[in-house]
Amino acid sequence: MGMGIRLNCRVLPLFTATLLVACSLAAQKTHDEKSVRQVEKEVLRVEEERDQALQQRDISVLDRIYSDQLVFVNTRGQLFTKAQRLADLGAGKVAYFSYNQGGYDYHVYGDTVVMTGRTSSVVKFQGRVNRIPRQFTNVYVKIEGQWRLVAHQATPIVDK
Amino acid sequence: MTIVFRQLEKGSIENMEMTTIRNSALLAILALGMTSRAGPQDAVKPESDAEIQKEILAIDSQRYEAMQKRDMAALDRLHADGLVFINTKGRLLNKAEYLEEVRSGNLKFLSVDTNDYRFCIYGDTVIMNGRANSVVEYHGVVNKRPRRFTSVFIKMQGQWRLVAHQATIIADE
Repeated sequence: MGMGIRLNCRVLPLFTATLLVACSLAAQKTHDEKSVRQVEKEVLRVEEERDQALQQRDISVLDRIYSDQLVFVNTRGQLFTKAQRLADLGAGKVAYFSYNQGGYDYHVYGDTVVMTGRTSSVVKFQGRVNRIPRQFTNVYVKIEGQWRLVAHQATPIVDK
Repeated sequence: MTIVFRQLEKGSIENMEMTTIRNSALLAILALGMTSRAGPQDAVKPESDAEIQKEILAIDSQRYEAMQKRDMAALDRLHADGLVFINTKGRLLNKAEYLEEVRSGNLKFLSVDTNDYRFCIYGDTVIMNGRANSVVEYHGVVNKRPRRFTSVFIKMQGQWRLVAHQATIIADE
């Protein structure tokens, strides 16, 4: 009995501390998961806004979403700056006949999000119509409180 | 937040990465609710843009060397656990799939030649764009066509790791 009490006196604080740590870790994990889901929602909202702006050729919205240092690589492996991309869109050199993309996946690293997806949109660029399904990566970074697209690259899916 | 857009003339190599590993000390801090999430704005010690570019090129060089030697331990260290890798066929691979392609010999770099780099630095996130003329054998088919790639590196617990890579054949060459 006396030994049991002595053991409890030693074990109880350790048990309590362990329990507190476990509870804190669980709470932190839940908080992190909620934060990640919230970030994914925010990025998806911006992505959908971008999609609309591309179809409507709304350059002012795209100007706000695109980072000034945007790196844009299209399905032909051509590299464009933000200015070049917006100029092509503004001049009607890029035209979407249909818009269809999805299959999104996200990897959240604090204020950076790597988003992947597939598209089968039909788009005309430099006189060529592209209907080939392609896999893309969009990288968003939160800059001064706003998610902005800093990189985009698309690659044709040539085999399954 | 530092943002830089630069172009380098010539160089060699490519990319890779690694992800989140928390040690017990960090877990203890988390448990006490005293930590903050690592992010692009959490740089502990400011580094110059030139230093960062140099570090990224060195990491990329290590990655290619590790691929050529099939050094799986190094590749594991250099790639983030959440790696997304999209090859020139538009196939999306995760870290395990990508490393298995290297380990099995399905993916071999017969030569490495990358250049025309551009860097955009957003705190602890670096976008590296470049051109590759490397000769690659993938599932028995040799690919010599030039391609444009984008690699994304993030500094995690003091180490740069590749979190994303995508390559696209330059169609008009």
